[in-house]
Amino acid sequence: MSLLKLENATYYLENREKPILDNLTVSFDRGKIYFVFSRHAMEKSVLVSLIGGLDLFDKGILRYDGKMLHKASIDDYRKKEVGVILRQYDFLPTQSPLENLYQYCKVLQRKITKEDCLKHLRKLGIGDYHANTPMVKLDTITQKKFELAKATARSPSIMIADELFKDIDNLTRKAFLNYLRYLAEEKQMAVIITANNQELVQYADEIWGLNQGKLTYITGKKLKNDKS
Amino acid sequence: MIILQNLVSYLKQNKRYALVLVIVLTISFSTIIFFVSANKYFGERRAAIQEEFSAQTFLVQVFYSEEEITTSYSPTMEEFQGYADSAYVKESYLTGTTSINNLTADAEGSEELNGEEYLLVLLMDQARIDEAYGESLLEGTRDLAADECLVSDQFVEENHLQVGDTINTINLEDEPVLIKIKGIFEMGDNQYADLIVPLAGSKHLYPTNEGMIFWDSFFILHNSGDLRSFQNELRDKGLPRFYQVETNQDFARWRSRPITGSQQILAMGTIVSVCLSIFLLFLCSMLFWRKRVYQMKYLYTIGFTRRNIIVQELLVLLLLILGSLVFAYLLNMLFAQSLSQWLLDWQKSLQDTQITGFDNITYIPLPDEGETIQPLKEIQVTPVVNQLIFGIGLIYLISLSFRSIFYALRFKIIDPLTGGGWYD
Repeated sequence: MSLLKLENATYYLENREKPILDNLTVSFDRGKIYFVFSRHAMEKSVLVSLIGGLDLFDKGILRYDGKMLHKASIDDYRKKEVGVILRQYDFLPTQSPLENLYQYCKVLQRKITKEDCLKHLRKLGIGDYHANTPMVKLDTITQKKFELAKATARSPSIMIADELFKDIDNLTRKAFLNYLRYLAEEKQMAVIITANNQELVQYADEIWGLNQGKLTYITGKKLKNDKS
Repeated sequence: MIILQNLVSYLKQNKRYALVLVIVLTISFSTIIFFVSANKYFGERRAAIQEEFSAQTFLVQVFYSEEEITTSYSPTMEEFQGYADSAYVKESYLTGTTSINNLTADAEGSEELNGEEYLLVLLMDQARIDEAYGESLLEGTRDLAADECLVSDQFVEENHLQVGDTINTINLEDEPVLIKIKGIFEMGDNQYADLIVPLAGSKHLYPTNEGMIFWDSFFILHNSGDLRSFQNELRDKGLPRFYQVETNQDFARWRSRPITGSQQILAMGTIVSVCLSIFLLFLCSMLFWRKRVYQMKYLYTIGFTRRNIIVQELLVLLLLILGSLVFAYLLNMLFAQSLSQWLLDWQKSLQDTQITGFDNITYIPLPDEGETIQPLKEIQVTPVVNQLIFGIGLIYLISLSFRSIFYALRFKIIDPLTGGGWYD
């Protein structure tokens, strides 16, 4: 049984006749890294928000662990089962990474301490100095590191990120990909990343394409072979 | 639980918003608390003054001539009796004023008193003499026959007189008059006549022409509702109808004018304060709206439900309002008394200036310091204060939270224009 499954899921943006996501059917399993490629940032962001439980599809079904998610259960799903990296609303700019992470973890884990949060930040390469510096004063890469740390801090079963690799250097990208592999294989998470840089395909277990609201499955292996 | 844990962080994030809210709310609540408690206190004082004057029944009248309303008019005895016989009159009395000269005395060393100067003589009925000079009588008795008088201690001292001496004078009709000193009174600040003679003394002083005496007539009615009927009766009897009416309510009103002025200023200040507060709170809400919207959406992404966000918003506002209330009470405890004192003093000085501007209105002295009107001693938290504060607080809470609640119920993370990301 799939961990997360979309069945004929459709979503309309307000005041638009054509759906932004049209009749999507896809399954996501534990232990795999999924890449969703698209040239349209809007489609990717909407998909991440919907899979992240921030809104419900207008039509179709979203199942988690076999159970259909609806209005009453989506809040619980968002809180406990999924870690999301969005392109905004990821942190409070005037708070430090440590404060942000502590607040985020406290929502679910009451007994967590700031020391635990600091340890987690260190894993992602955020030192004590940066951990206590307000987010607005940090560079993009450190902010991305924090976002990744935050999305994985509550040990979710699904980690989904929107354009995680945008505006970061190769070294950090590699480190991030290694960490994502670790999350998928060791922590048995389903990792879903949206991107438009096709150089990343070699790191994916499954590759999907999103175009004009339609989601198309492309095997990663095939793409790798093509490239080679 | 999730809300309580996040409260500190929320307040820390919105510290400027919270600070502005607390300042505006504190000022607003302080004004309201001060207004209500001071208003209540002033109201009580005013009621006390009115009660004090209500004991004096109803009115005092001074008559004017029919032809010239600004000139004082001395009614004849017949006219006076016509007024006094009315069924509406509870009490009536006359006070006469005249002057005599060419005084001499039988006492040794006092052959000639005051030379050619005129001496002011006051004629009063026995009841008025008892009332006015009962306490200030130094020597002798105040029960006077027609040819007897009371004299002031100053007059006695200047002219070496004593009780039992006789004053000889020639009245304005050039007739000799003898008046026996029956008592000596202490001259007070508000007294101006050295010689007090009973009403019956008018015949003794002026056997043929009582018109030499200027009469002031006073009437006290049973109650204020009788005034109109009394006026009609005067008209029917053909008596002069031009007079000044000074009711006990007028006295009370005069004396409580500083209080009334203070209350008006307080009421105006409170209305201005509440209106200004609502405007400032609205402005404050607008200024910090973007940041709060971001925060609401952020909280939603980290696992807050819409209900959590609404409850948190209400809880924060409630805390700020309660905090402001505490500050407001503290401020009032510190400054209410001195502020009410200042307000009252200012109003007293203002009313004083206004009163002396009128020539034809009897000057009613304002209460002295520490007399009837005392400053606000303490903040009086009454059910009225609580109800008003509760009501205003609720209005603030609703007006401040309305937009947030409405927004929290319907916001979407997925922006209809950008989809939550950016334009391509």
